[in-house]
Amino acid sequence: MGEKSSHNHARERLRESLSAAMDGEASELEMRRVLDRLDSDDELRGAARRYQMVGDLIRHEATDYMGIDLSAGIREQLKDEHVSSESSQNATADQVDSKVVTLFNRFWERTGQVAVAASVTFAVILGVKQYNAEPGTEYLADAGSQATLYQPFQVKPGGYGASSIQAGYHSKQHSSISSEQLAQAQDVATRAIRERFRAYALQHAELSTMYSGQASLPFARLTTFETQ
Amino acid sequence: MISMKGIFQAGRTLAALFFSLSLVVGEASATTKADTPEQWLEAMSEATRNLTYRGHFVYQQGANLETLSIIHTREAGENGQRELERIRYQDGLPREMIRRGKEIVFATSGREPTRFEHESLMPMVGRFTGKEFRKFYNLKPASLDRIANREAVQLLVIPTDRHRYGYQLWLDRRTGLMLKSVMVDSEGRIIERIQFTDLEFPEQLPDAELSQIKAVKPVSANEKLVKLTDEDNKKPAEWSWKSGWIPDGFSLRSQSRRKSPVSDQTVDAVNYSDGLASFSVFVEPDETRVLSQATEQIGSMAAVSKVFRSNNSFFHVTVVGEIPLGTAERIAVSVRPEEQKQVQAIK
Repeated sequence: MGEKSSHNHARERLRESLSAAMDGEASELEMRRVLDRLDSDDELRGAARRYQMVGDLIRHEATDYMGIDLSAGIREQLKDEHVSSESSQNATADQVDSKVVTLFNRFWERTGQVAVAASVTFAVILGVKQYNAEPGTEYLADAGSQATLYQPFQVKPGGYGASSIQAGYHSKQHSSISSEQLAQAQDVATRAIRERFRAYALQHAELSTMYSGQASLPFARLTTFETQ
Repeated sequence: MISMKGIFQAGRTLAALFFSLSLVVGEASATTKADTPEQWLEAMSEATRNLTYRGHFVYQQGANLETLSIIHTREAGENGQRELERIRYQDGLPREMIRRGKEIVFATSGREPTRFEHESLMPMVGRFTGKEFRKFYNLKPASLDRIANREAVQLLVIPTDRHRYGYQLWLDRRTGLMLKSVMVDSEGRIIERIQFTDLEFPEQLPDAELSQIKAVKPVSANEKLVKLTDEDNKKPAEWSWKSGWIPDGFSLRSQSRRKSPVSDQTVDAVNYSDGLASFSVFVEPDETRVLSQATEQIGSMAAVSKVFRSNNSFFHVTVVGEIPLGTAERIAVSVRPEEQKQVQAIK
C-alpha cells in the first residue's frame, strides 16, 4: 500500500466519476471532482475523450464506426479551428483540450450520427466548468446556518491502509474562522469519521455475514480496522 | 526454477490422477454433487453454514497479513437447528467473533463487546443458480489445485461490469467449502487474499470447545446491543430517504432501523448483495454540524461518508462495502430525502 496505491485509487475513483459523468449519471459530488481536476490533469482529459468515444461507440452499434479514424478527423478539424477570443495571452493546453471535446461532438454532429445524450452531458460539464472558473463564484449549493462549516475533508494518511483524497468541494469558509480553528475542526471531523467508519464496518460485517455467501469473510475483513 | 516446475507438474499429474481415481472409487464418499460452477457456489454457501469444521486461515490485505482460527458447527436447539461459530484473531490485539444462531457477539480487548440479535433470518438458497447472478458474473471452472492439503476445485468469477470485484475461488472438492479466495479489481490487482492453512472436519466438536462458544456472558450495562426486532421496523419513521442509484444486480437483503453506534440517534441500516459482494447504507440524522465528506479505501472495503440536507435538518449517509470506491460513492451521493408524506399534524 502507501502512496502509490492510494494514488491509483484516487485515479480510479476519478475515472469512475468521469465515466458516470459521461453516462449522465454523475452526482454533484462526482461532477465537481471531475471538473476540479479536468483543468490540471492531462491523463483525465485523455480519459474523458476516450470515454466519450467509447460511449458513442457503444450506444451506436460499434461496428458501424469501427473503420473511422477518429483521431485523424479531430486533428483535421482542430487545425482549421482558430483559437477563440476568450483565450487571452495564455492559451493553455486545457483550452485546446476542451475544444477537442467540443469539436469531437461537432465531428459527430457532422456525421449526422451524434450521440445526443453524451454530448449534452459533456456540454453541461464544460458549461459548469466555465461557471466555476469565474472568480468569486461559489458553485456549492446554498449553505445552512452560520454555524455550519463547509470544508473539503481529508482523512489523514497513515491511519488506515490507504489514504484518501479530498472530495474536491469548493470550500465556503467564513472569514471569521481562523486556520487554527479550521485545523481543529478537521481534526475533530477526522476522528469522528474514523469512529463512524469503524463502527459501520462492524455493522456491515454483521449484516453481510448473515446475508452473503461467504460467511466468515466479513469478519476477517475487519482486521484492517482493529489493528489500528 | 526447473525443480519448481517439475513439482508443479507432478502436482498436476497427481491431481489428475486423484480426479480420475475418485471418479471411479470416490464418488460414494463425496458429499458434494455439484456439477456446474453455479452449483459449486451453491455448495460453498451451504457447506459454510452446515458443516462442522475447524481450521486456521490467513487473511492478507495490502501489507497486512493476519492469522485467524475458525470453529463452526450446527446444533439442534429448541427452535430447530442453529449455527455455532467462533472466529479468533491469532495475532495482535485479541479479537473474537462468536455466532450463536441469530446472535453475534464481536469482542475486542479493551472495548465493550458489540452484540447483534436478529429476529428472523432470510433463507439463503438458490442465489447462485438463478439467472440474475449469471448476468453480472461469468463463471469459469479452472484446473484442480491443492490447498491446505486438500483437493480444490478452482473457479473464476469474473464480473461483467465495473461495479463489483472479481474472485478466484478454490473450493474443497469433497465438501464445497471455500479454501482460498482472491479478490481482484478491474485491472487485475489483488485486493485481498484469504487462504486456509489447515482444515479438518471432525464428526463433532468436543464439549470443551462447544461450551466456549455457548457460554453466555451476561449483558453488561455499557454493552452495545443492537437488537433487530421486526417490531422496530414497523415503527413509523419521522424521516425518510431513498437511494437514487443502486448498481444492477444488487438486491435488498435486509433493512432495519437500529440504535446508532456513533450517536444517540437511530440509524437506518440497509444491506444489499449480489450474492458475493455486498454493501450497506446507513442513514441517520447528523448532530455534528460539521458537514464533511469523506471517501476512503480501507483494505478491501470502500467507505464513503456524506451529508445531505432535508429542509432544516442534516442527515449523514455512510456507505461501506466490498465494492469499488467509485461505485460506493455513486451510491452515497444518490441518497436523498424522500418527499415527506404529509403527516397530519396532531396538535
